[in-house]
Amino acid sequence: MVHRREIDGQVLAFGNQGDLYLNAMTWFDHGTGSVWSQPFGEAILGPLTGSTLELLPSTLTTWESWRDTHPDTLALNAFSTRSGFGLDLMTIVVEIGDEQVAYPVELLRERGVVNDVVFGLEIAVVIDPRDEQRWSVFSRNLGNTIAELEVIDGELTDTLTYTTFDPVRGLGTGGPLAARALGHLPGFTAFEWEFVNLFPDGRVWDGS
Amino acid sequence: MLVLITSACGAISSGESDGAIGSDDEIEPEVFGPTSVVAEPDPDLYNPVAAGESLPDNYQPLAPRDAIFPVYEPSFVAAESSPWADDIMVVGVYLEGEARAYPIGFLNAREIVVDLHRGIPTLVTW
Repeated sequence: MVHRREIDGQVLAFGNQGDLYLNAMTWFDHGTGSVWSQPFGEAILGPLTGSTLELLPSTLTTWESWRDTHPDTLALNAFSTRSGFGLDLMTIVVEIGDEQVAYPVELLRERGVVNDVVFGLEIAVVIDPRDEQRWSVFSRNLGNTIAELEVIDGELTDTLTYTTFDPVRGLGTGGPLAARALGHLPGFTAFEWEFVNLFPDGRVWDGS
Repeated sequence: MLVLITSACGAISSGESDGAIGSDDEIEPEVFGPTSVVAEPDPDLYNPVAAGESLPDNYQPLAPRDAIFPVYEPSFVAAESSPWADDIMVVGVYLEGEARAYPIGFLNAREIVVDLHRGIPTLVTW
C-alpha cells in the first residue's frame, strides 16, 4: 500500500509500531507518537486518533511487466540501504499446502542453507553467502535428481553433482547441471512468536 | 530549445554509460538518493501503548517499536542496474511522471519505506 504521509499540510514520518490491530500491521508517527492501522491508514490511538492518510495508487505486478510499462522506472536500491535491523531476530517462513515451517535466521546463518521437505516437496532455504540480508526459498527438485545443497567455498553447491547455483536467482552457474535452475518458492519473514500465534500447528526448525 | 532538451536529458542519464562496453561487472551503478532522509524517532516519543491508554478490541501488543527497522533513507538505481529477476513481484508507484518499484521480497523484511516521490511524501508499506 502507498499512502501520502501528510495530515493538513503537515508531513509526518512513520515507523513500525510492531503491534497488531485486527491481525494487521501498525505504525507510529514521529510527530505525535500516535498509533496507526496500516489497512485503514487511520490513527487508532494517541493525539491523532481518527485522522486518515490519503491512499495513493499503486500496482502489484512482476518486475518485467512494470519495466515494460515504465521503462524509465527507478528501482529501490534494496540491498544496500542502511540496515539497522537484525534479520537475525526473524524466522523465514515456508508455507506449502497445509504445512508451515519457520527457520530461525540465526540458526540458518550458521550453515547458510537448510535442506528440508515441506508438504512432500524437497525445498532449501538459502542465505546469500555474499549478502547476509538476502535469502531465498528454492525447490531442490531438478527433474531427475534432488539437489542436496551446501555452501562450499562461498558457493551454493549441490553436493551430489557439484553443480553450483546462484543463491538469489537459482540459476546454475557451473558444473554438470549448470543449465538447470532451482525453482523459486514463496517465503516470508516473521518473528517466531508471530509464527507460533499464526500457525499453532506449524513446525519451528531447530537446526538439526 | 535544443539546448534545454539536451541538458534535461543529461540530468537523467549518466554521461558515462554510453561508452561503457564490456566489463559490466566492474561498473558501480549510479545511485539516486537518498530521496528522503528521516531522523530516527526520539526514544522519548509518546507511546500510547506504553502510557497505558485503553486499547481497542483486537489490538495485540507484540514487538518493540522499529524492531523491524523501516527504510528511512531510500535510494534507487536505474532499472538496467537492478539485479532483480524478471519474475519477482514489485509494488509499482507512478507519481508526477516518475515510476518507482519496490520489491515485495524486500518489503517483507523491512515492511516500511519512508519516501519522498517527486515532492510527494509517501509511505510504502507491505
